Amino acid sequence: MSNDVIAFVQARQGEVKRTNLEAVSEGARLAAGLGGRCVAVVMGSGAAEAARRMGRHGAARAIAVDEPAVHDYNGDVYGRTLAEIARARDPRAVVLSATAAGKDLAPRVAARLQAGYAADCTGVELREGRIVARRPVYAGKAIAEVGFESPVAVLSLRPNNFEVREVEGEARSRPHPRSPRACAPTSSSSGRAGAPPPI
Amino acid sequence: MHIVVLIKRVPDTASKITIAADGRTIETAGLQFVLNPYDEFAIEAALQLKEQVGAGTVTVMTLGPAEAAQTLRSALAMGADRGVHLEHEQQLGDPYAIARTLATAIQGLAPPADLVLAGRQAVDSQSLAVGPMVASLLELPCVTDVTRLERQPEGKLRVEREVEGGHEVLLVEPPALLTTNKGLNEPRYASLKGIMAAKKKPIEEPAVPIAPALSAILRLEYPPARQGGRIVGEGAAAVPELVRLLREEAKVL
Repeated sequence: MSNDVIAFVQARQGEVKRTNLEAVSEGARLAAGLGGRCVAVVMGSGAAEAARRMGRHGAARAIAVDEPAVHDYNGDVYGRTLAEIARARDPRAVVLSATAAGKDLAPRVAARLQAGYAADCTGVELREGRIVARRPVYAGKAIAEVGFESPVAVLSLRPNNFEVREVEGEARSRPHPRSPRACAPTSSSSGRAGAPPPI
Repeated sequence: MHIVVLIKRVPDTASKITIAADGRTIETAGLQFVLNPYDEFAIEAALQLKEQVGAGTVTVMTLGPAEAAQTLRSALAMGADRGVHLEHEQQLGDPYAIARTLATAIQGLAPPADLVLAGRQAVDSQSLAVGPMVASLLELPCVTDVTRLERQPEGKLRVEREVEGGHEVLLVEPPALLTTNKGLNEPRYASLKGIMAAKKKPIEEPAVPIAPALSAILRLEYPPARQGGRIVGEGAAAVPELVRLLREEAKVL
């Protein structure tokens, strides 16, 4: 097992929403505490271009998946692809921003990795080398501290609760080696209305 | 057509939550429990599909303590045909263990499920996880947060879901799993006839092993007390500061 942390990033025409950078920054902070590295997995259109910028937020490496099958978000495709990439690196954690897509994706990845999952975390810390997540439950009437029994934990991070770090450096970026094989969709998108450009 | 609906018994959202003496669970004595509201949309969708096809079975399945049988009865009273109760003395908190156990139980069903429906989230644990996890474990195509569902003549399902700033339309070929969101339908109330009929409907208790938990709640605490309001300034001049505070302090933007 590595001590690496995978941070998921969704790209649209090379643009990345700020909340994804929170995931990379928090992934890097967590990886540093665990003695590993943060690997950003960037999926979507213009992923390669976006991947090169992830070093600025602490990613030691970035893996880009940019092909038609991932240009629009599809949970089935993203779930299988991200789980496959993560499994190959045997990380301690996979972190995602709990955006609409992130909340859809995270449990799929957790199921495929046989990982404990904490959704919509408002805090993450290391306690004696173990990951502990904080998350609201009961409609915010209580806060739970969650610990993990599985070797890998999947964490979705509540947007705007984690800092975006700016550091010097560039992630060593490469396309996903078997990238063209991104898993085929099992449901097909037949249209999309009114999706705004990413912020 | 065999439609399986995953349901959960949850504390009523209007109820006051008290942390139990163990510091890790909530006090359940005196707490009002209900059928998870998002699951009502799933049950209603299943009943409508069955009515549309004119044949089929709607099975409702839950994992929970003995009292969860009551939740199954409410679903049977709405019109579901058959209940499956995976009994566990405590409500499991780990999404993976719940999904793994449900997936095993779904695999054991006869006839096999053509469609699995679940609420998008349980209002207590609010992980939004069990539906997509079950789908991934069973390798079923999965669409979450469905707000519109139509069965096409050849059997494919046309579904719509809200996404950030728009909505998506997808075609799904069963067997598949969908999670239901608010706005999909108006769940029906159980009729008196339905309530009477539900008493005679079967609730099975198959011997399915409860999967081990991969995460655990170490501690529960109350959220920090709400702070008083603050006047940032007056007129348009105060807007930049207000935006900054909303973004950086309140973290709502």
